[in-house]
Amino acid sequence: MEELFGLPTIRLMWIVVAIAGVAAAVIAFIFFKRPILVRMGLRNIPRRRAQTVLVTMGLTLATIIVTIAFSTGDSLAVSVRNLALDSLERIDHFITTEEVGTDAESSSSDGIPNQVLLDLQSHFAGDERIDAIFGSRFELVPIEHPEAGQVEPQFFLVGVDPELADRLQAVRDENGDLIELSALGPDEIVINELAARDLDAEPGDRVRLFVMQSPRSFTVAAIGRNAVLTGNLQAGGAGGLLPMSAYQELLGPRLSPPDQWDSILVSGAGGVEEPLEFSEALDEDIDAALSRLERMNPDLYLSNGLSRYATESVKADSLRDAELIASVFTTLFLFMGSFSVAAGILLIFLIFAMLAEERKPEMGIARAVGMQRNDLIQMFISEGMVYNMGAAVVGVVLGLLFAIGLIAALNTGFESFGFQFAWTVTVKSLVISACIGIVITFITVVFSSFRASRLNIVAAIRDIPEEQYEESHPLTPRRVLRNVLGVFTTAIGLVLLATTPITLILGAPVAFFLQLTGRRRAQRLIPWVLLFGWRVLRWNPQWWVLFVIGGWQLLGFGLDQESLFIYMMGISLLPLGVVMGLNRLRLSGRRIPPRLLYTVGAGFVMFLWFAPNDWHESFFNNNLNGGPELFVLAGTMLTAAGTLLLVFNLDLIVGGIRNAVGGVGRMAPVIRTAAAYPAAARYRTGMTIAMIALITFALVNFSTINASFSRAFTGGDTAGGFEVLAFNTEVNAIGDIRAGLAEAGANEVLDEIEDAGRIEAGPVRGTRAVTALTEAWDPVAERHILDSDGEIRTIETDLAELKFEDREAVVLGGINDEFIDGQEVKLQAISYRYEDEQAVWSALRGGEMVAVATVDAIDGAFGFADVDLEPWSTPDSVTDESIRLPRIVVEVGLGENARQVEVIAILERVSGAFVDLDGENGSLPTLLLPESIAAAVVGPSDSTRHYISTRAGADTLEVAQGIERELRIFAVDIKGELERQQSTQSSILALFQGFIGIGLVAGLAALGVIALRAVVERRQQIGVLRAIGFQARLVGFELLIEMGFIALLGLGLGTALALGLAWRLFAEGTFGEISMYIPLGTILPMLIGAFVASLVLTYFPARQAARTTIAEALRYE
Amino acid sequence: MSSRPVGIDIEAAPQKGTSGEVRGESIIVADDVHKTYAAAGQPVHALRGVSLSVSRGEMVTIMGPSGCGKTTLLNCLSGLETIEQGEIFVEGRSIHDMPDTERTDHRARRMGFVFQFYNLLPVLSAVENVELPLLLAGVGQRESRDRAMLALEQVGLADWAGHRPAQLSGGQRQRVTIARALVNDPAIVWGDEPTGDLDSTNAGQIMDLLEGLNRDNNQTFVIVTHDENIGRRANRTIHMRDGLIEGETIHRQLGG
Repeated sequence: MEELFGLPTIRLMWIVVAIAGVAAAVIAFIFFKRPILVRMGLRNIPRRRAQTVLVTMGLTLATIIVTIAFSTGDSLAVSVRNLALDSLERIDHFITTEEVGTDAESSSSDGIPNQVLLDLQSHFAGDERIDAIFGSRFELVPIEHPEAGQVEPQFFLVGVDPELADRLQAVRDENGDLIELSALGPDEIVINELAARDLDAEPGDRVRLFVMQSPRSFTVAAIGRNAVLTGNLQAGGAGGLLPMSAYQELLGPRLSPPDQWDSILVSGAGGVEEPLEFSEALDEDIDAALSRLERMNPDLYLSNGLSRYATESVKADSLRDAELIASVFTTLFLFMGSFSVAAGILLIFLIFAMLAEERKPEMGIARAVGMQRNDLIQMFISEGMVYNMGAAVVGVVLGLLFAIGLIAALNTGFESFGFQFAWTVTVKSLVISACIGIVITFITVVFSSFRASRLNIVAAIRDIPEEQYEESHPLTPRRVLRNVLGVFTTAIGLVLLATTPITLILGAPVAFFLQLTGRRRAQRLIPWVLLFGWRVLRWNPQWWVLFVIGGWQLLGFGLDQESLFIYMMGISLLPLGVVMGLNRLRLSGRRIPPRLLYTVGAGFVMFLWFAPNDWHESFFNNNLNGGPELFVLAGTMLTAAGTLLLVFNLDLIVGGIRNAVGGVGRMAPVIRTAAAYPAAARYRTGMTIAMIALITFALVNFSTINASFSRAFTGGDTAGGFEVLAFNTEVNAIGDIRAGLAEAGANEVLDEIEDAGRIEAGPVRGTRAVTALTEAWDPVAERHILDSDGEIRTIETDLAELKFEDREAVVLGGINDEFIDGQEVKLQAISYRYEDEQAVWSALRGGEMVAVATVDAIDGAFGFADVDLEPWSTPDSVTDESIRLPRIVVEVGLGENARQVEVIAILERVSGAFVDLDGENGSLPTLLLPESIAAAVVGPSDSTRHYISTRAGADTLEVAQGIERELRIFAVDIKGELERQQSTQSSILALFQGFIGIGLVAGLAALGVIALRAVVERRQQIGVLRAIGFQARLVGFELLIEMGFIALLGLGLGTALALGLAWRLFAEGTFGEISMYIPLGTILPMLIGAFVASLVLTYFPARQAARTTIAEALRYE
Repeated sequence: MSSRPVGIDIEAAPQKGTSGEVRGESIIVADDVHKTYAAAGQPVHALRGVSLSVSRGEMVTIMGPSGCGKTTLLNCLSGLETIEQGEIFVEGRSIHDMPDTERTDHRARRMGFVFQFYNLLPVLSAVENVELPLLLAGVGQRESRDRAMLALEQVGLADWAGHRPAQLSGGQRQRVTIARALVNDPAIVWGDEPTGDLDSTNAGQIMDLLEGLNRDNNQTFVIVTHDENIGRRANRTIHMRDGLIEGETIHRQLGG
């Protein structure tokens, strides 16, 4: 992988290496200056091995996530690259037709005249960069392997000049050995690996190709590698290759005119990869040559004025695509993994807080006898960095193992596509992963050490709560000023850090030198250069100041940039900062109750996130745009706010639980203490809840949104009421499927068919393919529409947006009566001139001059419309079922074939998915009209789809297979196909869920850590409980309930926030008309699994607690 | 007041009768109790054949230098520790022959404990701490709360019921502990240096309280202490040295 986030990965590597180097320099500095501190820090590591393992586990998370992301990216880059190279072999450039006036490319059905090939060959004769320029033909031809009883209707047959292919050594078998095309006999064919698999064919087998229903037998001469020249023209595409003469003879002059090519191919000199070096230049030269030839011979080159010949550097583009795919996947994994990284960071904070609590008395004594706070920080950093280094190594190894598993799982998901990824990782990726892990952990350790070092000496020595300590730091003007200055200093440091990381590298030795020489005044001149180094150790961060100033700035910047992400970050931090500041405020010596402050603050942040986007926009009278990155921010902010809300009201929750379990009898004291401990230890409970909630949020939100999409697009409605879909091709057209089956004597298939619907589709291209007759409207009258209650009301959208412009391309689909009979397609909006859906279909059946449009034809309904195509615009409110369409009249077709039709309805997207004809490249709008009108406009169709509804109880797979077998046209069992798609989607989704779920390890590890800690710090209390009558098993049970309670709070909070946010997104129409679906079948097992895992992890500490010896526990100090 | 050595000459089991000037129905009888710890791999003989008996309603203090085995004896008598040899009868039942579950249940119903460092649960309020033994014994929520409040009232802390231990003074905490020890109306209250962490005024008040409870409720108190003043307020003081009872001092007769 060469690029990520638009940054060359090699530069990224050096940046993270530099920052990791600074981290190492900090440790080296501490070691040289105060080796005793390092020794003091390190001695704790071997003392508590179980704890060391847990700490390391927590710290590995970031490294694991980054390693997985990068290794997966590498694997995809290499696999897709290899696939492209294997598939294209010696082909470097394609010359095809390109639409004029649109960006869409498509091959013209007219083909490329042979003269164009001759002109190009002549132009580039003697060019050393080119080995050959040659023409090729390809066509979908049904093939049958009679012996095996297999039929493949979608077989791409390719025809090329055999001598040329041999000279280029362009066709190879699966072992890489050359296949000589010129040595093929007159009835011999090469088929590719996919075709051999589908047909169950081997070399020597006889196969039959059908052209216009006539069979012609060939012997399989060899199995070629899946490549463009062997017909692998689409993913999973079976195909084969014939010498051009045999191809022409088979297809005949009508289907394969002798003076035309489907595409012209250019093979660069030197081999498979060498031409990539000059691919760009050659592409420009070919394009220039084509432009020149256009000018010289416009009649030949621009005959219909709509298309021109264009070159495409297909190999270089494919490799770029491979890079892009890898980059996208890596970004996606990093994006989804960010939740786990965040949970890992919280775990580090928690672990350090626990370590600090455990060592509080000894730290207090150390401070009492003269150890500086900085010394404590440095001691913690030393210890943390040893864990960090160990975690980086373990994390990389575990990450690689996870990545291997992930690639294997991806391969299972992609199995049906006939494509396999190969696991790969580069040294560069390993270095980046390890260093990013080290850097994230280092930063977290530094900040954790700050917190850990803040202790009240007396309270620490006596090991009593530090409630007094907070009171000794009320808000004073001096403190405010100092912290504001601190924020600005840091901001300068951050800006310098972002603009030039080199300042870190240069600054470190300078600062080190200054520190050694003791020139402290000079030190203060460079606070920013070592922001993440020793200088930061001297700044006591007051987060509320940072939150308020940073939040305010981000809010303004976000509004200015119209960035929802920055705005939401600012507006979320601001109230939290204010609340944190107010918490320190004393009014006549009295403080504002923290519960009130944090409940209001956190509640407000949650309100901001659950408020619709429009509310924010209208409040600030500003546009705000966001992308998927908001998902991470929403998760983080909502979890933070939700956790604050919970922990500051935990006593109320606990009280509620107490009241609820009043009648539980002897379990009451157990539940009472189990609920009381988490309420008392707010920090650790909050951290653990946040960790679990964060990951649960990501999992539930991701699952819900994906399941809703999956249900919408692969659910039963998608089929539009049909069970089997079959496609005609140019060489094998079946006009009437009933007649075809009857003729073939396939009565058993025929009997299962209820309705044999049909859409005869044809594209219309021309500068006025569609003319919007806006002048036929009364612009004033049309401002008013009828709603479903028959009331006339004004269209809410600005009329300026209601424009139907002329279009240069459209697909017209002529539907027959049986289609109308069989369809269950829903209509999203219908004209006010029609009573109901039935009236719309009746008008179509009656052959009236009316049409229905697919949702792609309109703008604003879904947000995916291709802006380049300038889709027709309708009011946003068109998605509202109660809204009726105004009268829309368009003229379709060109010249004397043109007809005026009224668009009387818009198909609903989901149930209309299968009748959205999409054109050749999936981006043209579709209008469905009565068959007779479409035929008059488009002429004979070269693309017919058969929509078949079967009788109740029919085996739809057998019907589809029967049609394929008897008529040799491609037929799909829609339900089965949807199930297959769903299965593939599910396995890939499960993969992503598993990836996100890695973060749960952090939450569970946190539970383990606090359970272990609880056993130690409550030993005396356990002794008392046992003394006053707690049975041993109840002591263990109490701990289990306690940890289970925390796990439940985290899981519940995460689930509630995720579903709340999903509800908001669906309700405000972010995902168009797709309705929210909660996949309980996915979510519940996930939640139950996490809960059970939390209990399992707590079981061992609980058992340890249960086995506590009473007298020893009572003696314990 | 008389003082004479006790130990092997005291008849242990109830059927064998008990000795001592303070006579009454024996509620606690120990016979030749041995207890050994392993400390740094070396065995430490904490109790080396202790025999004694305590009458119902008696207040007994156990005194002796540090490490003589006072707390160990208390823990063994109350069933918090196991013993290697000998027998201990509490209310006529051999406490160490009981399975742990039964022994724990017995403690919950028939015993109360007061420790030097209070050992209240910091996460529960005073009243919640006090009502815990009642809930453990299966008493209903409402009754538990009423009885806990009554117990707090007895120790003069009814107004502090909703406070957590951290919000109370040392003396107050110890009163809560006493309330907790007495709330289930135990037959025996065990005290391990109950005034050890308190100043003399508070210690005096606590002892007044314990003495009053002992007198009014006829509950048996066995208290480990270093404080001679406290020792003098009991019916009898048992003196220990090196894991053995070296003698006893009778301060006043039971009921006297």
